[in-house]
Amino acid sequence: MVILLILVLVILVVATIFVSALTASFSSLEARLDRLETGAPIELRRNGDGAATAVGGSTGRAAFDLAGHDLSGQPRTAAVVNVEHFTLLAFLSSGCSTCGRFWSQLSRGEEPDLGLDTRLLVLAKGEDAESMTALREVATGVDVLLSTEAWRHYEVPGTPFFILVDGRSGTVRGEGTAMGWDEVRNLVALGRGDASIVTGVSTAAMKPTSDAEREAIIDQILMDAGVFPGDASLYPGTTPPQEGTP
Amino acid sequence: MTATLHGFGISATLPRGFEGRISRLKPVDPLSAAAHLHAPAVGTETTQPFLHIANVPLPAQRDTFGGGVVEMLKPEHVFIALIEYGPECVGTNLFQEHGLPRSLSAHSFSRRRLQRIVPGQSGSQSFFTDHSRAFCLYIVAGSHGRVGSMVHQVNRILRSISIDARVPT
Repeated sequence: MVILLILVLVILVVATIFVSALTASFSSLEARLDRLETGAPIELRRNGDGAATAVGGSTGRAAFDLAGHDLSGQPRTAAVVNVEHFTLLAFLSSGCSTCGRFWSQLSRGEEPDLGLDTRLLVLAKGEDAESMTALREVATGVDVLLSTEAWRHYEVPGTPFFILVDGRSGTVRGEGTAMGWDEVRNLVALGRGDASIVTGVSTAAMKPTSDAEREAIIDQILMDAGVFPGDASLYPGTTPPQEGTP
Repeated sequence: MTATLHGFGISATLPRGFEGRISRLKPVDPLSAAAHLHAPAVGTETTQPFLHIANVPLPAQRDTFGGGVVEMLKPEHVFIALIEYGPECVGTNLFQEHGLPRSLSAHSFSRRRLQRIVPGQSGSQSFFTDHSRAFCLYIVAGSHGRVGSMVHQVNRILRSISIDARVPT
């Protein structure tokens, strides 16, 4: 009898532990789903040093050009690949409180200084997944590209979320969430490897590629004018080198 | 991946590096529609769509003929505008050519064909009617000297543009 009682008690304890674990797991899952539905910011993986912005593990993946509409429903596309500049994609929603700070600053025309060749492109979901009335209220005067497809392509986990694209290589150079523009500027500086965005000290003079870029520009100007490598006009008073000659 | 633009009965497929916007300005006098309801003799103000394509970022605020964009063009850049005119223009001498030009040559461009002269730039203007809609095709090349090397890219874009019959306003 005593053995049976002990057995029943053991079964009861095990069942209680099992039910508690299941309930806790369900609550956690439900909370995450709530966050996704309301567009509330999702805490992303952070770097080992606890940096506020997180450069995602998928950095280096291919970027895509974007197509959608503006706030008045007029069609637009945006080129982020095969361009000479970086593009910072800012994924914002009308419902998340953190996004509110970004919207209000952008509405006042206060765009962050991201460096000369970084374009800021603000994105929101299309009318199939976003309240246009709420969006027009928070995004007054902001040039927004509405594209739910863009969120899918870039696998945006929540808002606010920022992705830095290198237009020359066509790849993602950094991504993460942020609480303010200072953190976004850190992400851009990390992604570009250019501290001047944060420190204000330009490194342009130290750019090792400047000579090569200048040479490429001169080559292009000459070719546009019909002067190709080996052209006699490039060797006044001498004989042009023959092909294969060092 | 190329992007496709479609709106107001106009569509275009853009090569990599190019972006586009199809816009239509709001009437300057929104009261004209209300006035027309009360007094039919009062004409209503209507606006027509325009398509902009360029290999530079296109800002929200742009003039129909590219003000706000052409100033940013570097020698390797090009700006294309397809601007629709009102139905009253269809059949007039200026728009007597039929169909959107699909194959321009370097000779189609001149420094004097710019709507607004910017040193070094070159422009091309064509007026035509397509599907009973009157249009101006206006193109600005960032460098007159480079027109020859970019005209094939412009033609590729022009060949991708399709115009439908007039859409209800």
